[in-house]
Amino acid sequence: MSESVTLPPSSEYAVEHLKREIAFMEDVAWGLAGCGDEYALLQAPMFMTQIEFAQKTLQHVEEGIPFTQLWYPGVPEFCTAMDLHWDGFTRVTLSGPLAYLVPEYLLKMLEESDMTGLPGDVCTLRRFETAAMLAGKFPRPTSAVACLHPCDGVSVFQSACEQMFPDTPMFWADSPYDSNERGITYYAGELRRQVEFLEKHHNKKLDWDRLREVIAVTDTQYELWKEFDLLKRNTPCPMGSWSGYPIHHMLQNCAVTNAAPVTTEYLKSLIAYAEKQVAEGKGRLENEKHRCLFMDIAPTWVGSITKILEEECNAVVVVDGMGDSRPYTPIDLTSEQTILEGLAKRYCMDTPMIRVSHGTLDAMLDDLRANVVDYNLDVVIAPGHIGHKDVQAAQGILRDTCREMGVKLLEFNYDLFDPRYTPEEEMRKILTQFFDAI
Amino acid sequence: MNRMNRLDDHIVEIEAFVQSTIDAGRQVREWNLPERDTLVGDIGPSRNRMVFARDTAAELGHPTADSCLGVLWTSDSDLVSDGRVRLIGPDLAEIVGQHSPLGQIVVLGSSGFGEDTEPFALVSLRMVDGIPGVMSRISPDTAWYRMSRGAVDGGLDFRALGREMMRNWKRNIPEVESIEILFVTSDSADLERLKAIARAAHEVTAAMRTADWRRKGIDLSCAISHCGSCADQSACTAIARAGSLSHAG
Repeated sequence: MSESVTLPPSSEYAVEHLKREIAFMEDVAWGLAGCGDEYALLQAPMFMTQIEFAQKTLQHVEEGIPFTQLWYPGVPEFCTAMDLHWDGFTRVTLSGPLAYLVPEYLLKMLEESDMTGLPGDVCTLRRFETAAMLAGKFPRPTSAVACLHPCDGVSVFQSACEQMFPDTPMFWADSPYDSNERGITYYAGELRRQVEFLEKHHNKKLDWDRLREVIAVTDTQYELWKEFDLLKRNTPCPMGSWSGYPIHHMLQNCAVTNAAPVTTEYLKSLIAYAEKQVAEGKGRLENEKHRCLFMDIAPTWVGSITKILEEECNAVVVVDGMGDSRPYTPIDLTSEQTILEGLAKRYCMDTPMIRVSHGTLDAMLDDLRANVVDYNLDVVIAPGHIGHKDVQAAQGILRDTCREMGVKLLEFNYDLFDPRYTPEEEMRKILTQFFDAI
Repeated sequence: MNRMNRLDDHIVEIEAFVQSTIDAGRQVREWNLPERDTLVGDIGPSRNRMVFARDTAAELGHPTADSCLGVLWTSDSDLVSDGRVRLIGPDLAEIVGQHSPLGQIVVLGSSGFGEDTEPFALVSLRMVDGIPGVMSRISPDTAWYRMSRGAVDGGLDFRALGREMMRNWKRNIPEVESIEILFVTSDSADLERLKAIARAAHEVTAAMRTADWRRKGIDLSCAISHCGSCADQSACTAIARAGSLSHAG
C-alpha cells in the first residue's frame, strides 16, 4: 500500500533557518514571559506552541521522518488522527508569530519578497511565500496537500511549491464555490481522495474511530470558540481588538495544537477572562466609543493599527475576518460519508474567511448584517487589501448595505502584510479623520 | 405573479403540515393573542442581554439539535391568522437542561411591502430584541436561541416569546398588518418536513433578492462570484473578446 517516495533531504539553509527561527522565538518568549501583563500572557500558549510547531518540524527534517505540508483548509483533523506531522506554509512564510511581533523581521521579509519580481498587485503573502520558497526556507515535505481556497491566489504558491519540489507528490483539492448540498457532497469526495493520497504516500491507514475521537475534541473546541465570541457582544467589549484571531491558529493552523488539550485550556482561559470582565462591567478600552467590524484578518502590522484605533480613536475591533457569532457545524460521526460531509462544510464553507472570500456575495452580506446586529457595531471597516479583490469589488454594495443598516463604513486601500503600502502616518490620518467625523 | 403571493403555496404547505400533525392525534398548542397583550415586561427595542453558558436553562436550535427558520409573506389575508402562536412539541419549561431542535416559521400578512426584501433579513436578526433572558444567533435559514434560567423560571414560554417577536416585527416593519408564528420543538422528523418547505420558500425569496439587487444595477451572481456557474458566460466572453479586439484595432 505504501508508495512513500524517498526524496532528497531539505536544503541546509532550510534546516539552518529553522534553527535560527526557533532560537529567535525562544528569546522573544523570554521577553513575553517577563512582561507581567495578564492580558498579553493570555496569548502565551499560542506563542509557545508555535515554537513547538517549528521544533517538531525540525525534528522530522533532521531525523528523516516523513511529513506532509498543508494549510488550515486542508483538514488538520486527518493528520492528527493519522499521527502525521504537517508543516504549515504560513508557519514558514511568516515565521510563526515573528512577522507580527518584530517589525524589523517583517521589513527583512518584505525586502526579500521585493526581489522575487512578482507583480506588485499580487498579494504580498504570495510574494512572501515565493521568496521563502526561492530562498530554500521550506523544508522539503514528503507530500503536500494543495488548497485552492480561501483565495484563488493561493494557487500561485502551490505552483511554486510544485516547481521547487517536483518529486514531492501533491494533492490538489478542488473546492466548490457554492455552499449547498451539491457543493458539500462534491468536496466530501475530494476529502476522501485526500485521505487516500495521504495513506498512499505515508504508509499510514486512517483509523476512522480515531478520527471520531479527534473530531469530538475539535467539536468541543469550536463550541468554546463560539462561546468566547458571544462574550464579545457585551458593551463594553471585554477584549481588545482582534482578540479572537489567534484562536484560528491554535485550532486550525498548527499541527501541534489541533485537537490538543492545550487548545481547550487556552480557550477556557480566554472565556474565563472575558466572563470576569463582563461580570465586573469592564471593557478592554476605558472609554469605548466605537465598536467595529474589520472585514479582514489581522494585518502583520496589527500592533500599530490597534494602537491608533484603541488609543486615539477609542475604537475596538470586536469582530474580524476570522471570527463571528455564526455557528460552526458539529460533525455527524455516524458514517464515513457524514464525517467527510461535515468536514467539507467546516473547512470549505463554515470558516468565515472562506465563506466570504470563496463564496457568493450573499454570504458576505448575510454575515455583515448578522455581525452588525449581534455585536451592536456602529462601524464597518472594509479595507481593500491588494490581494482581497473580493472586498474591493463589493465596495458599492457594502456602502448600500451599511447605509440601510445605519452604520458608518470606512473604506481604504492597504496591504495586509506590507505596512509600507499605507505608511503609519497615512493610516493614522485615515482613521482619526474618519472617527472624528462620525 | 404578484411578488406578494409567490410564497402562498408554501404557506399552504405549512398549514397542511400542521393539520397532518393534528390528524395524527398529536398535540398542537395554539394561542390567539390580541395586540395589546403584553406578556413580557416591555423594555423596548434594546439589545439582547448576555446569557452566559452557566446561566442557560435551554438552547433551542443548537447546532447539535437541528434548526429551521422560515419567513414567509402574503397579501392574502385568509392565509394569516393575526396574533396566532402555535407550538408542536414541548414548551420551554419542559426542555430545561436540553439542546432542543427548533423549527420557526413566521408568516407575515400585508397588502404590500414595497420593492425590497432586504429589510426582512435585517428584522429577522432582531426578532428577539428586548426579550429579557433570550439571546439569539440567526442565519438566513436557522435560528439558535439561548434561554436564561431566570427567564424560564420567571415563566417565559413560547406563548410569550411568540407575542414579543410579533411586536418586534410590527414595530420594525410598519407594513406588517398581520403575523403568526409556528414553533416546532418535537423531533428531527418534523424538522425535516419543515425544512423541505422552508428550503423551497428560501429559493423563492433568494430569487427575489437577486432581482432586487439587479434593479439597483448589481448582478449578485456576477459581482464577485464564479463565472463557471453563470448562464451568461458565453455571451459575456464574446462581449469581452469583442471589446479587446476593438482595443487592439
